[in-house]
Amino acid sequence: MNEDNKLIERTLRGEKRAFEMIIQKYQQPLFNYIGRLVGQRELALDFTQEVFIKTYASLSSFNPRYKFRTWLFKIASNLIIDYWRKKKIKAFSLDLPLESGQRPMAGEVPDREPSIAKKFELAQLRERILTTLEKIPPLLRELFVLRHVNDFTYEEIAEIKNLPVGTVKNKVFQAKELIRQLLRERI
Amino acid sequence: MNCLYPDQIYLYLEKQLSPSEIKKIEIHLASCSKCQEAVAERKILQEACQSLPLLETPRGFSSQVMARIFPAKTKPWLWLTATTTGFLFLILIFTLYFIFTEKNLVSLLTNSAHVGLDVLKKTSLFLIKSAKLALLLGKISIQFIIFLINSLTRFMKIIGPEGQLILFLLAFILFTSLYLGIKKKLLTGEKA
Repeated sequence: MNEDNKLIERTLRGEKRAFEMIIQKYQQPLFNYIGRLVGQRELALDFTQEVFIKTYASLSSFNPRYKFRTWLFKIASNLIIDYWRKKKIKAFSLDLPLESGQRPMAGEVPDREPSIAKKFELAQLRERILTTLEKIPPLLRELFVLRHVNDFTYEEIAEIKNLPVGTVKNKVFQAKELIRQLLRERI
Repeated sequence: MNCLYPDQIYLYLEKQLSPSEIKKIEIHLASCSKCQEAVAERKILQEACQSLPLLETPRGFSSQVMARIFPAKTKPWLWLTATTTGFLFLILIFTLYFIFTEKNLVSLLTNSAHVGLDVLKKTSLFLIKSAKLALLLGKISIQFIIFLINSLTRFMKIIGPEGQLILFLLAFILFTSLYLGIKKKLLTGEKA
């Protein structure tokens, strides 16, 4: 039995300290995930709290065959999608074709525009990526954050989002190409 | 091999291709400067993406969440503890007072008891005198009422049955006027 499952078992036995340990372990990654998606610190903190409360409330329904981390982020993802829905932000359906201005993945790469690598230093580039991230469609942003902020594997992201692994990979690459394109446009 | 697609570059950079695919790409890269540039740019982008600055939760965040999940409840034994502590504290204060002032606790208690008894005695006397006065007032009131009844009886005998009828009618008129006057006064200002 892994560490998370032991903590869950202890929590279900009534040991409050065990759940506090779960919070301490996941508060940072969860806050980063939510923070990069909603873009407002206070709101992100509220949502992070909300996710832990929901998690505690449904802890008895957790199936130990699955990874707790994946399950936790699934709860967070549903909460964010509800928030977007209430705000009437299009969650960018995967079935829809790419919106105008987005470059399809097909097509060969080389171009003669100045490289972002030549224009930005690494630290500057990181900051620019974060500001550009807010401009890309929410679903692409979410997949990008899960991959690059939270270091999930494509398989884990596929499980969180109930999507085929191939689609997840494709969308993460699409997100990066879109960021690259927007960074180039700024030059 | 043709020039690379973006997804091929990302898969190559993330080492997610088979050895044969990697070999094909490397052969192509060796002879294509455009693709070399494209790979270099995405490598920088990839590095930046993998080391983005992280957000920090505030101190005490986990305690805040715990407080929302498990709200604090006041337990009865806490009240008992607080009361006992207060009582013990008072005893401590008194003890320290007698130690520092060197007063005798027994004599203080005896004096206090005497004062209490005196107050009780004086209060009892006052109560007894008040009761006697009330009895006296009661007797006087009864005698006054008997006198009034006797006087009225004699007056009725003097005026006779005709006088009694006239008096009764006068009384009736007086009470009726009073009643109607009061009613009118009460209705003043009200819209019918």
